[in-house]
Amino acid sequence: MTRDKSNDHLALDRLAESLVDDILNMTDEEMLAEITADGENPERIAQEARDIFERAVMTCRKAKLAAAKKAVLLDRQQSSKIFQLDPSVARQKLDKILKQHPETRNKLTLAARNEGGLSDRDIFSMLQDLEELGVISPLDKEDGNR
Amino acid sequence: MAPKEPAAACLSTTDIESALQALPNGGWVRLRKIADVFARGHRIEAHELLHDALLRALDGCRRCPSNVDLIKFLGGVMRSIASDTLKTAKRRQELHLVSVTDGEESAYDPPDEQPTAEEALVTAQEISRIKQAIIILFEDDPVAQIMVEGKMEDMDGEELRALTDLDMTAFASKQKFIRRRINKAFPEGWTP
Repeated sequence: MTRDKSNDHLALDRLAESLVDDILNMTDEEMLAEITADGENPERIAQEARDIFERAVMTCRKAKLAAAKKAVLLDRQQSSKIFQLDPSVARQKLDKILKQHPETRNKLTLAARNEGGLSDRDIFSMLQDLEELGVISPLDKEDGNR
Repeated sequence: MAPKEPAAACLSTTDIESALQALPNGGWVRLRKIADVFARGHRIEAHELLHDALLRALDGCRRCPSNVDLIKFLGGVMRSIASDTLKTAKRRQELHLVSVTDGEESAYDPPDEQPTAEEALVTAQEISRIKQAIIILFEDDPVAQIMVEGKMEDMDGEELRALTDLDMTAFASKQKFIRRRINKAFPEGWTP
């Protein structure tokens, strides 16, 4: 870092640090009195900083939620035999299931009814949903043919 | 055999969030003022700097030792982020895609880490000008001017106090005067 800056730049950095030290050494009362004396509104400044904090908290929570969702999805994919099926076998299996359960087929969208229009991922996802809903029993070892 | 010194315990992210939830107005004003100082001279807005520092503390990227004052710790994080913006800006300036020819994919041209000689010269001259402007700001107060130059040269507080022959109270008061005059003279910062 030091090598990226000229001596003059480092001098300004040192000055900035000493200004911050001064701020850190003030009491809250001194700080608020100084702000008021400068014609600023300490409540407004504090509220703006609190708003920034709330925004950071929300950003952090959203990131944690996204990471948790990703972990659950990964875990779901790793633990399910469905995702280990050969894609063509999975298509055949879905086709067979839908023929066996016409009432389920009728509830699906047009794209889903014509499973040729679905991606491999969609097929796996539908099989997994059907498994979780109990429409089909969990795949046994013979089904995991990859 | 001497026992190993235990590693300093750190506040958990929950502890940090709770401490900040309970922070009084004075603490928030202090954090905002520190952000103003460190944003000055770097290519980042004060509110952005404060947000990034809070985020790093809240997501555990930066750990606060439990024996360190939280505001001081966040100040250190802000200083570090502000300093990093210099490198990032330098890299962004140099990053560009090579034009597509013969149906080839766009190629990434690795950035040259160094600015051109002309850019470096312009920046150095501007920084030097700002430094001089700050020193000249205290031309009417030789003691304050010595303190400013001493701080720029990394002299410690006691050394400076001895040099200026001020007692503790007068020295603290002069420091405050210096900070306020600089704030007034450079309300928008001194980014070159």
